[in-house]
Amino acid sequence: MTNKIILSVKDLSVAFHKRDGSTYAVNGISYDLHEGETLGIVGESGCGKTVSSMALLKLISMPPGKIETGSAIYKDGKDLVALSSKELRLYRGREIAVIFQDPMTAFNQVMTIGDQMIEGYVEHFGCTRKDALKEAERLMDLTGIPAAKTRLKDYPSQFSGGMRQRAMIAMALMCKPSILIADEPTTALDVTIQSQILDLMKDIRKEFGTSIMWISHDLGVVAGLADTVNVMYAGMIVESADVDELYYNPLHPYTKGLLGSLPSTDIDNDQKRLKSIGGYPPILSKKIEKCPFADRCSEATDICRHGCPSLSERTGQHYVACFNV
Amino acid sequence: MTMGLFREKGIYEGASDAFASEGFWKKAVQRFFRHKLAVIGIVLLLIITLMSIFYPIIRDSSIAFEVNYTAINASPQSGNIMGTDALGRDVFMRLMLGGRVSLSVGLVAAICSTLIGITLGGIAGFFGGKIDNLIMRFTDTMMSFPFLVICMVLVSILGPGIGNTMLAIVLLKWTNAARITRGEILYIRERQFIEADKALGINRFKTLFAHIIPNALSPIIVNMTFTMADTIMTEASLSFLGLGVLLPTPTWGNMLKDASSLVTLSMRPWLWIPPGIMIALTVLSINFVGDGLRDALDPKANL
Repeated sequence: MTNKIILSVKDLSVAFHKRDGSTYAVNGISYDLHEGETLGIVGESGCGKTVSSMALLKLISMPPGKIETGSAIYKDGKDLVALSSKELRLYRGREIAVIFQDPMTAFNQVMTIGDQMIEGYVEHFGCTRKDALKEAERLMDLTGIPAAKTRLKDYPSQFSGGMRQRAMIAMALMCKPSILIADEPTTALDVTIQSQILDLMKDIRKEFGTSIMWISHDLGVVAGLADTVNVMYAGMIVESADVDELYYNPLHPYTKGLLGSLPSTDIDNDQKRLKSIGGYPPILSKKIEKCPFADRCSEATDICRHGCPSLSERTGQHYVACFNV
Repeated sequence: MTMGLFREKGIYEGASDAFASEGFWKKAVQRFFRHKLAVIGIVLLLIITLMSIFYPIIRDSSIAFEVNYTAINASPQSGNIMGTDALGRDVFMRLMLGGRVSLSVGLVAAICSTLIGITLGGIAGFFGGKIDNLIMRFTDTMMSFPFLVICMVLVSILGPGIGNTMLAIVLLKWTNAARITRGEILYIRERQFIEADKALGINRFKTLFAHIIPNALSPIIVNMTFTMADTIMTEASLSFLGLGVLLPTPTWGNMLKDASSLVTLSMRPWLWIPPGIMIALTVLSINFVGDGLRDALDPKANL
């Protein structure tokens, strides 16, 4: 990880305006991604972690989705929000690649793995099929798929789940992107395969120096992989810090609640029931005016119900959006 | 230097032989031949087709047309294995020539109507919005006509004959293919691999031709076989009614017409049972083949 910022998100808001009302899925988030950094994005279902990441490449369906005015996503000095989808296509897969959650559905069943792997490569570099297949073979070999040359001719149904995820990672690496967005890539896999994929990602990071945005609701996975962690709640980043700092010294009540609700593997632990955060996340049909966590927060005071805290720095590089911390 | 860097972590080493590399089409063929009825269907269809093509070549086909008053309404005998009709023409030869007409009308009309259906349904599904609405309402309108009546009107305007029969069928039969294509495309468009393709920066039309259409193809092919069976029956009905293919060109439909006379129906079964059986057998075989294709072309089937 270097100090060079390769992606800078400023005040990103995404809303879905439908005929029967709007959903404000992402509400003004800002963060920087450094070269070689692994950024973990955690939060519960529906907190906007996937939407905010997919919005970087406008991969959300628009309409009804809309990146609100005032949002900016800077990559190499260019604002991605302002680009047309034709211009943005040059970034998709080339500069920023996506690894999808479910390797079972993210492949076309009637096309060979090899043909799917080279599709983006041929599109972006305009090289021959033969050269592209050679590169695909090299990357499949690299991601630990044996007999890569023959496996390239296989169809996705002939791959196991873990192998498919490896193939998808290899596919994402084809164009040597500077950023990989990994959208819960281990959620659909069992734990042994999960740990193999995590090891693979660590190796890839070391080998290619790629920045990774790792979207997950699994705090354990993020702890083992990320350098920095953004905790999202109701479409906002409520806490952002270095991974160790965040896990050992959580400041936001929501982060504390999340970490407190992890199951303990300690048998002697007299904690009988799993702790949980009471209440439900807010329905995002209106713009956020008060602290979205206030209704579930034991430390909430009057001020929390009348204004929305913004993310501000506490101790070095530790950002929190809370009035009471 | 990076080659095999992560290899030592590859748990799967050596396990690769367990997954023999076989293509989708090779597997599809295997699955098809495991389907017993489909195999029976294709064998029957092959026999019917080959006999229709080659029997009139091997034997002089003029016996199907030349009027022979010395042997009218003869029951099956050594010279005419299925007997002769009211004009002394050889029934078996007419049956084979009729097969040529019926099968080619079926095949050509099914292919043409499917192509029209794919084009219209594809445009509707892919572009969506107003275009979709326009095309699909037009399709609905076409479907709400009573088929046989419109067909009869069309043929009576255009005049009977093989070409016009095909044309009338094509103009009215594309609606199913259009609906199926549109439905498939709408479904596939929302699948994750299309999103993944978008994330790779592939342009829309390449996605349409490389991913969406191949995935939509199997239900369309299956539908085409059923359309073909349907078309053969339609041609038979029209010819039976005297609106399809005109005499003296034999088709199974106009051969059946003889059965409209009570004397024929009760006394001369060799005149109407063979074309009836041929129609039933052909349609049944095509439907079996269609069923087999449906199982064989299912992209999700692994075995």
